[in-house]
Amino acid sequence: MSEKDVIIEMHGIKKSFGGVQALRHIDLQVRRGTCHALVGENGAGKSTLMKVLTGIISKDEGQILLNGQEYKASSLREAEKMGIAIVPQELSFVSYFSVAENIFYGEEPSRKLPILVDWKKLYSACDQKLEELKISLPSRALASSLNVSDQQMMVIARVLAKNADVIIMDEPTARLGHGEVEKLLNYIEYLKTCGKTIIYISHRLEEIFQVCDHITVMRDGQTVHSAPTAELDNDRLINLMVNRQMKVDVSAVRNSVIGEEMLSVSHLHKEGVLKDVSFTVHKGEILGMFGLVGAGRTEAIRAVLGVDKYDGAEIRMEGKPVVFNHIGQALEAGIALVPEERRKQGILPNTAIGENVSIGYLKAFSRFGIINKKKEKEYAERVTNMLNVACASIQQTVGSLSGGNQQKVVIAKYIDRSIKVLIMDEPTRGIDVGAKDQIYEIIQDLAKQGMAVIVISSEIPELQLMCDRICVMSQGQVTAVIDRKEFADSDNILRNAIGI
Amino acid sequence: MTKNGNLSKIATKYGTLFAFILMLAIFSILAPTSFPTLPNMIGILRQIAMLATISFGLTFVLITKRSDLSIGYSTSFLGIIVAALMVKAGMNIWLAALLTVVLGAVIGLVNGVVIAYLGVPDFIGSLGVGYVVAGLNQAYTKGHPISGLPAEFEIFGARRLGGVFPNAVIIMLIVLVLAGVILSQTKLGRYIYGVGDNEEATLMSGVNTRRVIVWSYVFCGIACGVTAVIMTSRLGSAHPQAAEDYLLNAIAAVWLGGTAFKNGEPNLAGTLLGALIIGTMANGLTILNVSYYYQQVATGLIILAAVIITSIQKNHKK
Repeated sequence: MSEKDVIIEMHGIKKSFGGVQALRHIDLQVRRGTCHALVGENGAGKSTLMKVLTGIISKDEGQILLNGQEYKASSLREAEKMGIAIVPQELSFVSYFSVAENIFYGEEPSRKLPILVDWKKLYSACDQKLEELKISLPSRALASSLNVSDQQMMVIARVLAKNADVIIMDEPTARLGHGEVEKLLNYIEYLKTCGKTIIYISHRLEEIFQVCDHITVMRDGQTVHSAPTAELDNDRLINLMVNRQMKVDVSAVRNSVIGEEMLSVSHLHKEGVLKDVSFTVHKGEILGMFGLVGAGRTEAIRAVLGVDKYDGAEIRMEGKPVVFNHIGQALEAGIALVPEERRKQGILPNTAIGENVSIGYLKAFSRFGIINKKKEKEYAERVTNMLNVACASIQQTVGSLSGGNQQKVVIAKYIDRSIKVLIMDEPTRGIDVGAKDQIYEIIQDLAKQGMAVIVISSEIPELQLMCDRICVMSQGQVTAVIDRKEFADSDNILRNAIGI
Repeated sequence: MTKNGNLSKIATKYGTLFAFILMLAIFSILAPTSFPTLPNMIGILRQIAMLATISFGLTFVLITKRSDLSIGYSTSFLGIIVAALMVKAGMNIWLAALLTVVLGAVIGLVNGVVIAYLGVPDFIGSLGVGYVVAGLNQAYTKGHPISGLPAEFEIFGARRLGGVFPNAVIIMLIVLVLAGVILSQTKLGRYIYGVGDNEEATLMSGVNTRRVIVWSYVFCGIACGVTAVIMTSRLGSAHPQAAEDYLLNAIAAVWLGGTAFKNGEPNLAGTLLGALIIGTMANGLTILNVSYYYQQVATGLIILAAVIITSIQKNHKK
């Protein structure tokens, strides 16, 4: 292949957020008219890299060339003008607009008086465009009336109508059924013949081998390998993807004292989301839950706790059947959740630390609804001291703390009340390395004290470090439950998460 | 923290209070004989008693980051109800007042259920309830006032303790204390602030946030009931549209108050200050013979100034 085949070229791209280095060193070459796969575990930096490419965020260092010219976009719009567009994982469109309005959004043909839209022309132009693109969609139908597959085709049509040369597709098949996947892959083949370039982000290896010409593996903010698809296979890919940054001594025996079964979930079913999910966690045990984007881990936990609805399940707490209609009932029964999105679901940012840790437990210090503030303060000081929350006083607002300390505040809510099962969803996300170690220590201490702990995480090493067992999920199903003595085989864990 | 940081913090916290004191000083200089007198000060308190009471109720709702557009309509209707209970049904004044407050709570309950449980957006939900209440009011009164109230009914709004201190102000202070206890000392108060700060996190902590929202509307409704009793007592008769101005003034009072003390969050002390600013402005400008129309312009400017200063400070922090 000659040098002019390259449409996008990246050299030494770096990007950090605060202290966290999201992109360490990226080198990438994408050739025109190919489908180029970008694979890697959650957090490998794929999305960040695509945000840099589409101008949503700026790079700290490095160079991007588009058709051999220095390329720099500072907004999605600018990137689109230069021919780079993205079909994001969460499709964005106006659901109460018609297909044509969405496709020509912002570029509607106008009448003589330019503020008036020429509707007739809009629809005829749209029909013509769709025919040209070989996409069959009803131009007058409301976007909300389309199925997900057609909505995605509409978004693809929109970026093509803007003359995008490079189309980034982020997990485009995550929400599609089997037949629809075929249709999309066929369309990608067609786009290649038109000379369009596709950057394809997915963790479904089967599709990648079917449609992609070239694969680049990302790991821990770096491009670690790049090769034509023909030179790679499943095992090799998984081996490349597994993060080996963090050295975990998996042979270290956790001297955990595992007691009786605390929470058991069987046959949890939710149409289109969860299929026959079962898991158990015992007193003193740390159960890890691993999976990639869309595996259904958070969904399963939210269903069990009564936050979201589900279609059927048998849930037992200490052997007794239970059903929770809202999370307050789960807490009563002794099950607590440290949620995934700390800022959105965990903390009251403008409220004092002391009032944050007590808000779900005020009944313990109240009579006739009146709070005994002395008791509350004692409690708040005790639990924040137990976890070493670094703060000037418990009067300080939680929003002013670092991520790690905010997380400690959320955990502190549940350590000194009768909580028997503590579920933590991505407990170290967005937390710097030093604070991560502290969180690991806290989690292990809690288990030692007899709590049953479930840790949902997308980082294999941290699960290998802490857990007694790992329950692996893929596409709404439990694909494996792996015992500590088999932890060393990281490839096996990832293979089950990918579902092959 | 630097000296400057401290200064700006103090300015954020007490700026509105300083503005109020400045306002008192200016009126005192411009009208030295009639403005800064004890009777006039008591008069201002009496004038704002109703606005402050209803605003305390609205504070609960606004803390949860919601609104209640029904309060003006509800208070007008409740004013008619208390009169009708006494005049048409011959009810004892205390029982009539109590029943009116209970009915206010029921209107709040309806608002709360429509908004928190049926999931109707607060603006349109409370507006809908307000229309229904206003319609019932019109249907019942045909637009006519109800007069002929028993003389003893004056106790709630027209009389003064020891002939000096207005009963209306005493009732307002009682409501303030009760509301203060609820917000600062009870679980429910904590939950109301929790919902306002981060509703989802409060829910995830196991708090039944819907119930908390309903309660905040119930308190607001109770405040409407109390305001209606004071208002009808003070006017000596019940008018079908007596409280229509209260909605906008109450929103203004709570907003002004939110800019004081707590950096944008509604709070009772701030609400009282907000009502005082609005009342003092009206009183002072009336003494200075400024026409009612220009008084409104002045009030509007003061509200805008306070809110603009607060938002500039907030943006500055970002």
